[in-house]
Amino acid sequence: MLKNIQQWLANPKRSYHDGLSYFKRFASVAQKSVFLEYLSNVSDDETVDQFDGRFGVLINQMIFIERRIRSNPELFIEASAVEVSQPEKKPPSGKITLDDLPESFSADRQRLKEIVPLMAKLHSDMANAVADDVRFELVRKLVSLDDERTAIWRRIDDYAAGRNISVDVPDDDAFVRESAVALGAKIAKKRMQLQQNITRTEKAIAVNEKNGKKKLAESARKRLAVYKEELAKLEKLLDR
Amino acid sequence: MKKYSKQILSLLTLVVVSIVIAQINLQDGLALALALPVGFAPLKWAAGSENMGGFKNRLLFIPAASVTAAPDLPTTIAAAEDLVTAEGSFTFSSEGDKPIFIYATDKTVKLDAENQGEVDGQSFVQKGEFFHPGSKADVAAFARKVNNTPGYLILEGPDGTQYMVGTPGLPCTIKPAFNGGAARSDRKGFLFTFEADSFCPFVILGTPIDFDAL
Repeated sequence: MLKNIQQWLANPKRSYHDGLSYFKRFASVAQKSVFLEYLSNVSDDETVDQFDGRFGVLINQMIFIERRIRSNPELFIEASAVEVSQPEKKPPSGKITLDDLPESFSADRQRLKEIVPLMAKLHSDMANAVADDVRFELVRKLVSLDDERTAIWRRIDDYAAGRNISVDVPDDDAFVRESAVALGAKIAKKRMQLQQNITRTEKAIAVNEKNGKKKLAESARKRLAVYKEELAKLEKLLDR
Repeated sequence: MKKYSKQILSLLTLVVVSIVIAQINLQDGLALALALPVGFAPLKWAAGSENMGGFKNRLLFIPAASVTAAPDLPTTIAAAEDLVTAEGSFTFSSEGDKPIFIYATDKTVKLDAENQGEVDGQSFVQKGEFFHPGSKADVAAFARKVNNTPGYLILEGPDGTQYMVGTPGLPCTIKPAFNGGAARSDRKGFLFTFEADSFCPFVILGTPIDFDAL
């Protein structure tokens, strides 16, 4: 897929609609939240001029995506299955699976099939990781993928709402969902602990300074810096 | 014991030299890469590679003032090509604006890069020219306008590769000149010479423009 995106960028006669489908499939949640509505404001039969504002934005966003895939290919594992265009299915009803969703969800369905196993692997890697920086990097990737997974399911749930449909959650998806909740709880707990440590250490600094215990105050200050740095990292992770 | 130590040392040296020679003979990328500084790679030339000189007889000019964004060289380098490949799109300030298409007489479009600067501060100055025939008023008007308008020039190689002269902050300047000729057989028209400073001998436009649609 990386090659397809690179070919699309390098082709002067690139099609806007092809680029848009790549964008829908590979853009990050943040990119989609800012640009998807603007870029999707086009009808299926419309030919977008190469210097139309939308085309320029699409090219620039696809460059970001291409660089992200190039630097982190494991986050974008491509299914080997060849896509075959199929006739539109009848509107589903009742309890359905992901495969019963209409064709418009094919990119989302495909992406779920890619990221869910990857998230399961990251969870298992995290259980074995010892070094803090490695764990942090794994958490960062997990949070990013979970944001994407949640956004996809939100679209699926929006579709199901009002149609009297319930979409069956596959077992592996349920597993990563539970793991994500557990991870979220852990992060929240860690955050609370850090906040308490910061308050306690700030009080200790004040008391030690008041009693003239400069060495103790200094060592508390160093601890405080570490706590604050760790908290800032967590906050950044949560506020992305 | 000393005698044996000397023999073992000689044998070891021989083995190391043999391995190095074997690697060089293998011409394996990794083996050669071990001998080169980081970021350098062997320069090969595949048999049958085509290499036609010159450029196609059409160019594009984009005044820097007419765009809010232009393709630029990436700041993060992931592959060697990134060092000389500008990516991004030209975003025009006014909706409907497009690059200015320029016809050039065939075999008159030229781009060279000279080295400039002192030792430890070397860079390139990209220089070139193209010829537009005739003495029509609209060409003269274009020459007058472009005379003091920095911008970006896009050239197209015979294989379709597009080259961008001028990058954001280091634009291309164009110096038009008119030659009316004297003899009936003389060439008459406008010669446009251009130049731009750059770290690169040439900059490839990684997100090329569809000339045919302009």
